[in-house]
Amino acid sequence: MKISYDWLKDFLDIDFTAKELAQKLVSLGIEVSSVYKAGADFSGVVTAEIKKIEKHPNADKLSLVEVNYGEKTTTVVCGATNISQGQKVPLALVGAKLSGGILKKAKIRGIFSEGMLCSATELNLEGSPDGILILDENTPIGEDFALMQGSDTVLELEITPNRGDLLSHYGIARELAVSLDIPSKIPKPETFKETGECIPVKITDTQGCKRYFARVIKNVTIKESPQWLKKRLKAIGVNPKNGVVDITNYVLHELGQPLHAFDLDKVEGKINVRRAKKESFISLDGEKLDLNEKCLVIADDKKPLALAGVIGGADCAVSQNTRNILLESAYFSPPAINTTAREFNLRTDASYRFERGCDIEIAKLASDRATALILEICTGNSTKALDVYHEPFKSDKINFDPDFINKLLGTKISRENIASILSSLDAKLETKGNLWTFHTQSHRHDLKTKWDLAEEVARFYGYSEIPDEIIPVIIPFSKEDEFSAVLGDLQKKLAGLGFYEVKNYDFLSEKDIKIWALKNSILLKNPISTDLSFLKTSLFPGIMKSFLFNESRNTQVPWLFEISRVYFPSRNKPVENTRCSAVLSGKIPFRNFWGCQKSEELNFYHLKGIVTTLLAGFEIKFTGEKNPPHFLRPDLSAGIDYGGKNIGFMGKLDKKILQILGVKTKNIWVFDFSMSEFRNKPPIEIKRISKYPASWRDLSLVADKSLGCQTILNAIEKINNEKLLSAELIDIYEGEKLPSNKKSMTFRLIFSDPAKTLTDKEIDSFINDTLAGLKQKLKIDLRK
Amino acid sequence: MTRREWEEKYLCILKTYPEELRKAENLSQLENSKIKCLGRKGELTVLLKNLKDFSLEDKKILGPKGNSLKNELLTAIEKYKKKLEEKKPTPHKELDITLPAYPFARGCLHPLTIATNEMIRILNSLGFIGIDGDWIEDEKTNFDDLNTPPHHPARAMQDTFYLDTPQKYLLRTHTSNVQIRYMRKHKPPLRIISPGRVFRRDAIDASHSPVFHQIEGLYVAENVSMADLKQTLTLFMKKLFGIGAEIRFRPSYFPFVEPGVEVDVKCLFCQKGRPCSVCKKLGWLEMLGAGMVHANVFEAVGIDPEKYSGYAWGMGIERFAMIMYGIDDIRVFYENDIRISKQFDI
Repeated sequence: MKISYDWLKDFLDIDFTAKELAQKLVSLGIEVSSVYKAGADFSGVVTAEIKKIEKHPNADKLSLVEVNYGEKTTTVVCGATNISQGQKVPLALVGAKLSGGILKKAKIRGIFSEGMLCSATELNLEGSPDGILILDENTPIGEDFALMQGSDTVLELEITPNRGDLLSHYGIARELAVSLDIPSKIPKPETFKETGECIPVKITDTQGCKRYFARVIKNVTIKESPQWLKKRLKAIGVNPKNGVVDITNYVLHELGQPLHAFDLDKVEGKINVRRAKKESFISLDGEKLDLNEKCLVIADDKKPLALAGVIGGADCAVSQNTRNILLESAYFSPPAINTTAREFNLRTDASYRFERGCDIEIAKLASDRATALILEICTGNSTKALDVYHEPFKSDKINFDPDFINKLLGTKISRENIASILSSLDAKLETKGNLWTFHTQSHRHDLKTKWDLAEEVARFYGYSEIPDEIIPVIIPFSKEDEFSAVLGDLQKKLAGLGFYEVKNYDFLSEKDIKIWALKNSILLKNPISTDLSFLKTSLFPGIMKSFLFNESRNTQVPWLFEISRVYFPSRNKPVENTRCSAVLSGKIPFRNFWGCQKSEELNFYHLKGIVTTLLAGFEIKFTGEKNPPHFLRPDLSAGIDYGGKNIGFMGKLDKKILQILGVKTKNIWVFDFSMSEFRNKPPIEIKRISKYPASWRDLSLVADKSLGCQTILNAIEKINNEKLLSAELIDIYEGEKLPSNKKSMTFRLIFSDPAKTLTDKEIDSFINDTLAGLKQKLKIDLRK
Repeated sequence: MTRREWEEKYLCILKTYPEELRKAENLSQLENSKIKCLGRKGELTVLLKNLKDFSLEDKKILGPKGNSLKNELLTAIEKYKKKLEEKKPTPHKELDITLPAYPFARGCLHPLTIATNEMIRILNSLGFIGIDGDWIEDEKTNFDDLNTPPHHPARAMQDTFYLDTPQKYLLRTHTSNVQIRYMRKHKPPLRIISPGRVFRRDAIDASHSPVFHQIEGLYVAENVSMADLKQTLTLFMKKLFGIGAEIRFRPSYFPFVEPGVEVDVKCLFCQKGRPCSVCKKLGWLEMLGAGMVHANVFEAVGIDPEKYSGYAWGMGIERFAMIMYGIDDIRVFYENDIRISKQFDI
């Protein structure tokens, strides 16, 4: 909302600089987003008198004009035809700042022009765009023309939605007056002659409309508004239209009460404030709106005339030809206007104020103020007012203990000070004993409880005055840090392993869903665009977009990971699942000189290594993925199991998906697993290390090629007791020396005993047991 | 081998090795010479072995001769070894220390994760525990219980993403849903923070993103006052921006608090005489919204507002990161340009 400093002074005797005023407003909770000068937006223009006009020797349509601007006389080239000797005109001198830029000395058809005579448009002023702006004959010459336009300071304010009462010049003045402890000038009630009766008004929706103050003004002449009024409206960014419309706008910005003027001759019968039926209506903006029962309208016997508190209708708008008007000053309830405005996504100066709550008591004053101005500017006669006001405003009581305020604020403000602040809000305050009573006012919809009063005291006392010294705090004992401890570790591990973290939006397009063959995506009711209309069920569409983005900007795409949520529908609340997904590609190491010396294409075992390192401590298992996602190579993928449940997958991206996505890199690997299972870190259990030396034996075993290494390791562990410290694969051999369906795997078994050094004999017996067991269970022999 | 041959070889060794060992420039040269002479197949070793074929008489003469040479050589080797070991190695000619470093893996967390972790670290030290929350929320938790009734402007369709599900659900518009869910389950005293992702139906531009992140704090106990709020947030801001940071508290409005507070930090980038694009010449940077928990919020979650009081605050993580790292476009965070991320690899 824009406030003119000049206008504000109508209600308040202040003499601050704009900066001081802005600081004061900010300390009260009124944000000032900008401060600027209104009035002239040009400089370097002086008033001058035309002394002589001659034809330009080289151009038929141009003249050479000799002008005097006080100390000097100069000659300018001019193309206008409306000038004559003796006229007073605005003269822009070389270096003047105009709306079109800075004026430079120019040679026009061979003759230097020392300046320029200006049109109204060139100066952004009211008036004809053609011809030079001719000034009043009494205008003194040689004066700065910008200063003559008057200058005003405009403050653009951000009013919080709870403070509808601040949405006017009077409202701001009233607030400042409390803070400065000076009186604000209450707008005077206007008096004028009233004859005849207003047309009948009925409020059908008494919830939506609580007061309708109407008045008919007859025989008006719609005129242009006077300069002073136009200037004020323009300063705050309102375009003047015609006298009546300008006056309603003026009163809205002055007192905060939206008014509406109807062309009475277009009204058929009585006024009725009601809910709309299935009917249509053309707004002032020329838009056809299909109304429904949610909308509150002002109607006559036949049709809706206005969308109550939001926008008037085109039919009964005040025009140049309007003779008789109906002036509405009403109170519409915030929910009614909010619903109506939201229905059509309309926001007007009126709806903005009604939604935030107007002052029901000011309706008459505002109507009187506007009527007086209309009578003055547009002439005419007013009828008596009709005030349909079924339930006049009744003040509520807020009972409170003044000590409560100090307790909540952490302050020691004296009772006198509290009483003085609260009673300066134009409110009645009873201060007997420990139970005080505050009587609420019609303009302050936000004051309902003692907490609200505490805020008032804090604001006017000053937030900066509230202490902030060290106060002991209670730190509750809680075991429950709901944040996944594993997640933070995992992020850091991934970064340590060479992955870059990415973050993507939670939305997918229909195309993404098709490409990745995703199922069960939840649709948004109101997406920003169709490209972002589904909630994601996989992080890969996003990660691969980041991959593509980086592919075109880097020699080899760095490894990427994302930890975020995916969403699935369920019978009740949709399910959220946090997943960790990553994509890696290329060679290791891939960077610089060393990458060129010796590097290795990324393969399945690298991938397995990364996942194993990441989830170290959790007993995850890799399984042959029975149903690998379609975008993975079935022969180069695996499932990731944890706690007997599949939680994810890993593998190489299939050529097909790379083609569809337009990815150039060929060797791309991914993994993905659910994080929900990894809320808490696994407990750490320390195994004693034996003081005695361990002994090891290597066993080369010949097995079928189809037999997995893990199966053999599991069997070895099962056969042996706790003396087996570890068993691991150290070599694989396939080739000529073995049958084609066999492979040889060498395992290193390490034995140790906590109480002694194991003898060769003991170890031999463990080995014999192992070999016998393996032969029996898996038909594996020692390689000969 | 004849005795003559033996003696010739002996002389040859005597001529060669003491000289060769003396000249050894380093330990490995010395070791090589030693092996050549005294190794298993070394010249002197072989020579001594050959003695077995000689007569006893020859053995008596040649044996001590050979063995004393061996001992002399061994003593010399020990002496040279000691000398060489004491000698400081000269800079190696073959080592080019300007070659590129071996590229061990390097990755980096997202700038928003780095910023969030920093805030969590500070707030944990102030006794706040981290609580996680749902991103899909119902209207009651996201709005109603936060004193934002249905006709409130903040609830308009254009601000909130609604899901096309049989029951009405939305994407949370702030992290405050966590406050509500936590207070429904737990009795005061409470001291929690909840960082996380939030959603608003804003068109994407340099300063708006439909997805962004907030961090929220809540403290509820008996006798919590606005002075407590000022203390904690002053500490938090100073830990985040430095001890010299100037903090301003001013009145504001959020439906779920009363009194409402806005916290500004004196612009860190303003330089005298130059218009500042970060604070847009206002001199202050709006950092977070706060206030005393509204009595209606307490009532909605079953906490007695007459007995308990508390404060809550919320802060945008993108905004903080943009200011701290000098990023002027919010889209940078979701573009995932690794050339940007790499600069956080420190």
